[in-house]
Amino acid sequence: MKPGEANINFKFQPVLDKVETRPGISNVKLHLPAGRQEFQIMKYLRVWTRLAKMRFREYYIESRLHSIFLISGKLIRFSFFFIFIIALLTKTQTLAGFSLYQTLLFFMTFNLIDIVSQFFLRSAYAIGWMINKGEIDYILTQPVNTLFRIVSDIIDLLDLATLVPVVIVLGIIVARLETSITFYNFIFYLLLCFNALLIAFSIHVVIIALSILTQEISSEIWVYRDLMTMGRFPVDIYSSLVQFVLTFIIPIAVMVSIPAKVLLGILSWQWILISFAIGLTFFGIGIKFWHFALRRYSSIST
Amino acid sequence: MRKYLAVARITFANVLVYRWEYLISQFRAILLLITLYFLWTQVFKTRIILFNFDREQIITYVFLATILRQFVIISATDQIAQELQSWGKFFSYLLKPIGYFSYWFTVDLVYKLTSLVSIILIIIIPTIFFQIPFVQPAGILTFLLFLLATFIAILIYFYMGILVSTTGFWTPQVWGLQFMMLLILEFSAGAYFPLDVLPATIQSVIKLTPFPYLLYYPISIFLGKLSYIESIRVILISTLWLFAVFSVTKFVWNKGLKAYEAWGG
Repeated sequence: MKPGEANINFKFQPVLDKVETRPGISNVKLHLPAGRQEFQIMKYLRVWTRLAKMRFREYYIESRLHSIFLISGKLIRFSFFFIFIIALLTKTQTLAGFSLYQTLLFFMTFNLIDIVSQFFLRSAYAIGWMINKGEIDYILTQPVNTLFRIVSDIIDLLDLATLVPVVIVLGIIVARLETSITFYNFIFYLLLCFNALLIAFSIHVVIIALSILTQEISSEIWVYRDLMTMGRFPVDIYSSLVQFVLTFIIPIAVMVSIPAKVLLGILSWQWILISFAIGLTFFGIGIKFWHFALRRYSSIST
Repeated sequence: MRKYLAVARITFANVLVYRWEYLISQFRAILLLITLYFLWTQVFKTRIILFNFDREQIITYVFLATILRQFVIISATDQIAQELQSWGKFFSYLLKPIGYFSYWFTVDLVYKLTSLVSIILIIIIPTIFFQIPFVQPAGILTFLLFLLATFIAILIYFYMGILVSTTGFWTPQVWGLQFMMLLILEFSAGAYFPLDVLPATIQSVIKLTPFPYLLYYPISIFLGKLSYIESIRVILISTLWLFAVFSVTKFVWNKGLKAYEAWGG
């Protein structure tokens, strides 16, 4: 056995073998024919749907009151910032050279990326709890990819309830923009939003991996959340140093400002390429770091 | 008094146990400050006066709101709801020779003081480095009125925190309510921006609630936006709000005690 490859007594190895996994628990490599790959995708989709249903029952049916308050809170926060931007821009006309609707486009893109990433990656908030309660040990015994299973553990359907009004308002704002939107700009907007989700995923994976390594409840996720809120406004409001940090170190600008600028047709193709390169680099780092951390995982639960 | 000092000592030791978590929570407050600082700096690049604020006043507002937020709106009272739901932990206080509210007020005060000291220490370095201009209070009386308004704000928020937590007597689903209340409160208190930015109708509705007395009015006193008479009027109204919130909290608390059921050990 290679160092750190499997430092857990694996009782369910035969089950894992059946689903084409390899002995290294962090190195699940599948080389399957097309039909089997389709089968695997369907299997993962089924697992994800089952987990989503479980959380739905837990959050909505057992804690209805709690859910109503959470949804209301999120909508109130959204509304307050929306009113603030309108009130501010009504007086100033522009913010860092952007008109009211352009500024609102940045704000709505921030909300879109934030809500969708929260929807898929909520589990990162519970990683400390999962480690302490031994959930990771339990997950490691399951015949699915460990990272997939951790990330899918909490699927926050609450975010879908807030996503609907955000998408509607985003549509209205895009329709009211002074500049006309070309088909290519729109496609690149969608692609860069996907790129943003890839970066969000990578950052969450790094945070999960850090928790696996340190075995502590990770509060870094909250720092990320607060950093993300810096993207509510166009990145151009910040000084060049802060802009550099928000583009290359913690690429909030790549996640929010750059997609919005592409839609407005004010971004060069070089920046589009750089953005995708940053996305892929972060994804690579995230996955590498995850494997590094998982090989060093040791259970601390009782 | 000595027993509460002991509570304060233990609370402080507990804060120090989770030093990293604590530092991160302070760092998070700075991130909001950075956003608001650059936002308003950008806005005032092309304007001298906006919403009856000049650049220095708005920057002072943003900094003071960040500091006061860490002092007034940091509270330990949200833990009361958890205790009410955690297998009889609340019950154990009956065996201790301390008042329940006094105990939590002591814990609250330690949280606030440590938070205040650390946020000031964190803010002071960039403030000096970037030579950020601030508005000074007009005189010692203005500063004293500001301190008094802030002290009343602390008490109002303390009882508000307990009031929200009392729902723990009846339901375990308190966190959602706490989350929503905090969001409404932070915006209505002026934690993100002065209420003057909002449309007049929204402003008048918010000003009918106790929320602006937590941050917005104390900062307005500091900035000299209110005359002495207006400041005293604001302090009197906030005192009335304090009594109102205290009375409602006491009433609901007593109702909750009658409904309380403990199980476990």
